[in-house]
Amino acid sequence: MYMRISQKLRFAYAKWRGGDKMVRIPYAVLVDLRKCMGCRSCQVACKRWMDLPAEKTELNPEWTNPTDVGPNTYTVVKFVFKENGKKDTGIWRFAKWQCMHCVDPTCAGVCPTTALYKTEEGPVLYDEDKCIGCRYCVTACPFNIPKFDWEKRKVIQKCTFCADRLADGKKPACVETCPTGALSFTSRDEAISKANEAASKGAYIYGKDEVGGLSWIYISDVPFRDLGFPEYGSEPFSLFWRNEISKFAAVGAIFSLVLAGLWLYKKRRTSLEKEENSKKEVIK
Amino acid sequence: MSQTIEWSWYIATYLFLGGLGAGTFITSAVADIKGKGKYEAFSRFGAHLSWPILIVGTILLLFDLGRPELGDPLHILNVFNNPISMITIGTILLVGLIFISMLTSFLWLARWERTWLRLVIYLVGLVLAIGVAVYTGLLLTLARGSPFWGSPVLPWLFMVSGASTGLALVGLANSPLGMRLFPRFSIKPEIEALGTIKKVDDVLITAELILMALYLGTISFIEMARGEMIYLLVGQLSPIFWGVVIAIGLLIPLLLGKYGIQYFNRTNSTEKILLIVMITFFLVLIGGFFLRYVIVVVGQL
Repeated sequence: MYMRISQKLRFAYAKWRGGDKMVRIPYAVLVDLRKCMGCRSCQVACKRWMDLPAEKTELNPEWTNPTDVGPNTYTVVKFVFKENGKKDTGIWRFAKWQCMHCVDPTCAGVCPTTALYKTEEGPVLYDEDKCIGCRYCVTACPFNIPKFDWEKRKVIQKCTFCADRLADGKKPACVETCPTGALSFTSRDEAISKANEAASKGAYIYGKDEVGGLSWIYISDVPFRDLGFPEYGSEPFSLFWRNEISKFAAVGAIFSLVLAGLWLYKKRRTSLEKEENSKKEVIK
Repeated sequence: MSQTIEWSWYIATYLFLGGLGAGTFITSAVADIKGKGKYEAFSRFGAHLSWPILIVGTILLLFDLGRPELGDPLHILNVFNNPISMITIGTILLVGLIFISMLTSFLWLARWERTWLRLVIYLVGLVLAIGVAVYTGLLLTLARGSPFWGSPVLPWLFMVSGASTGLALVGLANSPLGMRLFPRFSIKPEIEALGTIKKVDDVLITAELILMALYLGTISFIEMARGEMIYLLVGQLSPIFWGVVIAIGLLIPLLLGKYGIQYFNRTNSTEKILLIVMITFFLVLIGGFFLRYVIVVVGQL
């Protein structure tokens, strides 16, 4: 209850103060994984700003902790150990993982209530007053980010891109706190041009066109497949929707044509058989 | 890929009941339009069975919702906000079908005349019913984060399965068993008509087998769904998939129907033929339910 009021108040405050403070352009966070050292300050800063309680963690073979984003954890740093072929040697890579704030988000597209919506500045936000709790977004999100909070408040929980801070002319909490400069908050265009520059020097980039573009753009020196990032095509959700529906219609058309063909064939055969039988009878 | 199974028994049961309710209505409509009075028992029973099933399914859907809406009953109307969401589209189709099937059910009780209006009502209902059966699959297909559902064949598989289970249920209702349970509604089962229904159901089951093969074929091309595929085919859920969905739900009804009836035809025992047909119908229903269950659950792993 405390959390709910505090967050609402903060949004209201930001709305009252902000507006003029913020230039309304699509923003993005550029994540340079080459600079990340896995300190998890972003995880802590996120918890502090969002008033999220601590989670009981477990020792697990991977060092990612908590193992995934959840109702009380909006961001995690994924720890990935990449072996280099020799025994017990390799390199560590750390990948911050949170809502990607897609340009054309699947969660908002499938949400029947429009409780999830995309804002002009980039954040994909959630309006709990509209949500009915169908959890379609949980099954549909390409990155499995939204999580339903069954225990406390019965709402969808996910990263908000610190939309309240943005409205107040500030950077997201995780960016603000990053000590190595791995995270930088810029306009989306600038982030893309920086990513392109890095890509031309041989780095791998992620988020430029995946599922129609993300608001979090990654640069890495190891392939994203090794970091466990899902591989998607570049169709945004609206295009994906149209493509899937037309594929479905095409399958239906082909299947019914085949059925009609079989039916005609069978009809013709039975009529031919009948004809032959009647001929035989005439001969007899 | 996702770690939490958000949609489980409630949704799987709803998808089954949605398909079943739509299937019983499709049976009713086709029996009425095509049969022209010959299969009256089936159209009558299809209409009476369709809306209670759909309403039970809708109640399950409401129970599954995560936000208790008891404080504001109108809150649920938010479900109509997004015209491209499959839940919005599906809810509209579902409500329409419930309305039409209640209407037909009422008109059957009022002994309606065979006029153009009856044809129009049935045709509208038929379109809605196909829509409901298909949307239960499209709902899953459009969930991009669950690649195991991402096949355009899935909605057709669900539709054919819905029609097949609907036919089976209507067949069951018009059996000696159904007569005992609903003495007021049933008409004495006609062996010949039941035979026709069985034949149509066999065609649908064959189509279902083909669609199932096509579905698994299209999914096998998706690299991200490989883990789920293995889990379904050889993993923990494989006994349910091979044993219940494929064997009990599809192959046994097909083979038992074919050879069992052939065998008893020779001995001329109508009662036993009837029994076999009823058993196959029952197995088809079980298979239809577990088909939804395995696909819904495996898709979220």
